[in-house]
Formats: sequence, structure tokens, C-alpha cells
Amino acid sequence: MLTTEENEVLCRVGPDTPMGKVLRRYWTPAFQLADLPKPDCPPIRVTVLGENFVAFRDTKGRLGFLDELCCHRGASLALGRVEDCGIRCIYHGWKFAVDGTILEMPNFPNSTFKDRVKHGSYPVRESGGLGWVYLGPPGTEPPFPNFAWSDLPPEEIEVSEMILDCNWMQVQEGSIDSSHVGVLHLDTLAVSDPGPRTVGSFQFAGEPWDLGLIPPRVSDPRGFGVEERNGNPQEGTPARPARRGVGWPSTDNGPRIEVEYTPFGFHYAAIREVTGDPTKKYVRITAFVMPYTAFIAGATGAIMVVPRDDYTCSSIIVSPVPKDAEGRPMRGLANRGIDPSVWGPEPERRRLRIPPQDREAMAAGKSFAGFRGGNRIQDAAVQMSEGKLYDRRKEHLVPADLAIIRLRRLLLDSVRLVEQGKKPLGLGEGYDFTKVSGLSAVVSADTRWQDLVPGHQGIPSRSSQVEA
Amino acid sequence: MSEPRDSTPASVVWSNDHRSPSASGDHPPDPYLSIVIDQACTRIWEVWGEEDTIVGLRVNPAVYRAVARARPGEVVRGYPLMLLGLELVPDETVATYEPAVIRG
Repeated sequence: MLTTEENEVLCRVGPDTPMGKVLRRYWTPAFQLADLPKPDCPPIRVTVLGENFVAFRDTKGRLGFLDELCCHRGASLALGRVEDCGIRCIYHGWKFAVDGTILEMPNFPNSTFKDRVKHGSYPVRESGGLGWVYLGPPGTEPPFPNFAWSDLPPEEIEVSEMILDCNWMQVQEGSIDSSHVGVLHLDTLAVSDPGPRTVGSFQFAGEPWDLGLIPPRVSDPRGFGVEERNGNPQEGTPARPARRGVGWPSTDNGPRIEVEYTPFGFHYAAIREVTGDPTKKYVRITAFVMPYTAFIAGATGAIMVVPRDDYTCSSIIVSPVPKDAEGRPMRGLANRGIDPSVWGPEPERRRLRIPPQDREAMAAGKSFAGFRGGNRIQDAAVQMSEGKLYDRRKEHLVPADLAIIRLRRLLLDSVRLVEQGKKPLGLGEGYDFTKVSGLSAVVSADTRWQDLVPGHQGIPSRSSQVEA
Repeated sequence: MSEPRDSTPASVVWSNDHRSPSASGDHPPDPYLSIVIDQACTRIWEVWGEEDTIVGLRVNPAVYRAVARARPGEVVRGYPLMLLGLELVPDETVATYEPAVIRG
């Protein structure tokens, strides 16, 4: 639960908002590099943190990230011509370099204006298939967060972006929440680990229904993610998909939650009983890197939630490309099972349209949630159902929501710090971001979960005492 | 139970002094419920780790009033005010950002 004031601060991201000022102090993944594939390709319009920009790749392959509207009279540079190491406005021909330098002013050729003023431009870096930008005050750029997959070549990394029509915090809170996995995602679990499960008093048969999710056989010698497919399908029956990692060895929908601050934000463990084995526990560790990135337990990559504006956000999955048994890269796994009519990877199809809920399948006991397409569709359906911008005065949190509670605390504490002229939390200065990961494991009951992620150790991100 | 290395951050001392009054001007700014709830939730998990039970939450009256203002429908219906599934008990001896659990 938040007050009205807190909710507004948490959710609004424009340049003059408290949270907008905080978010601009971090490197922000703003666009896909695949959308600017080669020098002098067409520019793209990018909306992020409530502002509009243009991104382009010049003749030498360098990225530029500029204010969208030409500084002359406001025509959109997204209509511009990318040529000869710059982008030219089609209105009056003004031309700009990647760093905002005004190269040409055809209607005022001998002016010194272009030597004294630059068009608005921002630092931009290429990493993990994404263009990252820094929109904060010049000279305040923090260290760039290089994750384990950040430097993989383009053919070894995959980016999958969904645009959702709701405020970013609803999606961010959902991405880090572990306690819903054994409920909302029962249909996905039924594919990866079939079998009966219980939700409260409801008995779910747990037979595979969303068959588009069944993964092919993959193997990855790098160890990013390994799964095997066992058995041959009998005629007339679907192939039984193999267990992925530890499967879901628990019927416990009330996990114990333990949260700790880390140099990058926080990590937490959702600890569940292992069905039939009191000597073991099932641990799912999620790491949250301020302010956008979550490493979900069991996933090989990361999910980033980036606000486009107050009512729209991008949910971006970045993951190493696994390989099949023959060592061939297998792309598109993050999108498998998603109906092309509701979403696609192409720029014009990334805005998600929630499919109709299959009530017949739910009534027949074949599906729990009634949404085909896997976790991303199920998550988006509930997150967008909260409305364009959820009023958190209405909610009734429970202790299992501790990770979400801590997420809000971290963000709102950062607002306070930035207001006082200090740095926000979780910048991870001096920290090696390649060590951040999520993890899913069955361990002995006396194992310290923190020992499973030793790379998360370091000086926790702490706020200094603020004088009243 | 594994021991968290730090269950609460080093304090960010929040002050209401600089904040504007409520939009209607009829009461001082509400406390930051995000902090109250974080502190309370941390206490709850600590007590549960001791295998003890909790039956309520003592909060500063300012917190109690802030929750009441946010939940007018529940107040009208006569429901108890609750956070984290626990009934709130206003207590002037409790600091704004140091809610106290009531053990069973």
C-alpha cells in the first residue's frame, strides 16, 4: 500500500518528475540494435522516460541518440535523411552529427551559431543487443553495467521486446515476484513438469495444454542453460517434455521470503518445502539490478522493464542463444508458443494484444489461467488488467510481497537521495556486474542460500543518513 | 533459517518538514507508508523465523490516520484497518517508522 503521493512519485517518469530524475541517473536500455542494423540505415523514433528521441547509425557505424525535434523549428528528425556521417532534417536541411554537432545550416551558412550550440545529444552504448543511453546530467554517468552476456556477438544473443500498455511499475513488480509462479504459470509448469498441483482448495490436473510451449531439445556447452527431451511420443499423445533444471519440486505456494541489499540493488530467495523430502528445500533466487533489470531464478538471461512513458513500457528479455544437440543456435525460444496475431518481434508488431481468455479450457480443467503463449502472456494479462496506472492505495499486501515492498523502498529512497543532491542507490560502482545471476536449486535444508550466489557479495547499496 | 546479512538498510532519515501539506490543506503530509510497510514486513519475517505468531501491528497514530484516509470505503463499512494482514493498533509510543508487532 502506498499513499497517493508515493504512488505518483513511484510511477511518473517524465523529465521533471522525481522518479524521472532518478531513472535518468542510470544507463537505460532504449532501443534494439537490430533496429539500426547498418550504417546510414533509416533512423528510428524512440520514446523513453516520457520523452521522444531519434536514434541513428551514421556512415561510420557510430550510434547517435538525439532529441527528436530539430532545434531549428521542430520537425521530427525521425523523418530525416541519414547520410555522410550525419542526419539531415528534411525541412530546411540542417544536418547533425552523432554528438549533436550542427554540421550544416543551409539557410544560414556563414553563422557561428553552429560552432557555439549543439543539438541535444546523449551518450549511447551498444551492449547485449541493445542501445543504452544516459539521459542524466552531463558528467554524471555511472559505470556501465556489463552483464555476463553483454559482450556476446550478435549471433549469440537474442533480444525480445514486448510493449505493454500500462505503467512500468506494474510490470516491474510482476517480473521480480516469485510467489505467483506456482499459480499464474500453472499452464507453463504443466508443459515443463506435468502433474497434478494444488492452489488453495483447487486441484489442477496439470496435463499439458499450451503445447506450443514444448521446447525442442537443446544443449549448451557454455552452461547457460541445458535441457534434454526424454522419451518418444506415443501415437496420438503429445511428446512429454523433459524436466528443465529442477522442474518445480514443490506444492508450497507460501514461500518464505528473505531479501538482502546488494551493491546492485537487492537479491532475494523464495524458499519452499520440497514435496516429500523435509531434508531439502527448493530455493529460487532473484537478483534485481537497479532500476530496470531482474535476473529471474532459472532463466539464462535477464528481463528489463523500461518505461516508455507513464502508461506504456517495454518488457525486454535478453538471453544467450542456446544450441541444439548438434551445436546449432536456436533462436526464437523466448517467443515460442506466442500467437503471431497478438505479438511479433518486428517493430510494428511489438505492442502486445492480450488474446481472449479460453474459458472453455478453464472450465474443462485443461487450463488454469486460459492464456496460451506462456509466462510472458500470462504475466502481461494480469499486469495490464490492473489498469493503465494502478492506484496502490487499494492494495492489501501480505508478507510474501516483501520483494515488491523492498523494490519500492529502494526506488523511493533513491528519489529522496537525488532530491538531496546525492547519488541514487544500486549504481554498483566498482562492482563486477558479470557476477549477477538468478538461480533455482534444490539444496539441503541447512544450506545458506547466499552461498549459492557468492558473486552477489560486496558492499550493499546503502543510503547514507539524510539529515532532516 | 539462514540469516540475512542485512534486513534493513542503514537509515534514510525521512523528514516531513519540507513537504507540502495535503492537497486539501487540512492535515500534514502523510507518513511514507512504503517505509512503514517495509519495516513492518521485515519484523514479521524475523518473528516468524523465531517460530512465533503475530496477532497485530502497533503503529503511530499518523500512520493509522494515513491508512484510514486511503481506505475510506473500509472505514465506512466498519472493517478494521490492516496492513500486511494484521490489524492496526494506534499507539502514540510507537515512532512513525518503527511499527511494532504484537506477538500472540
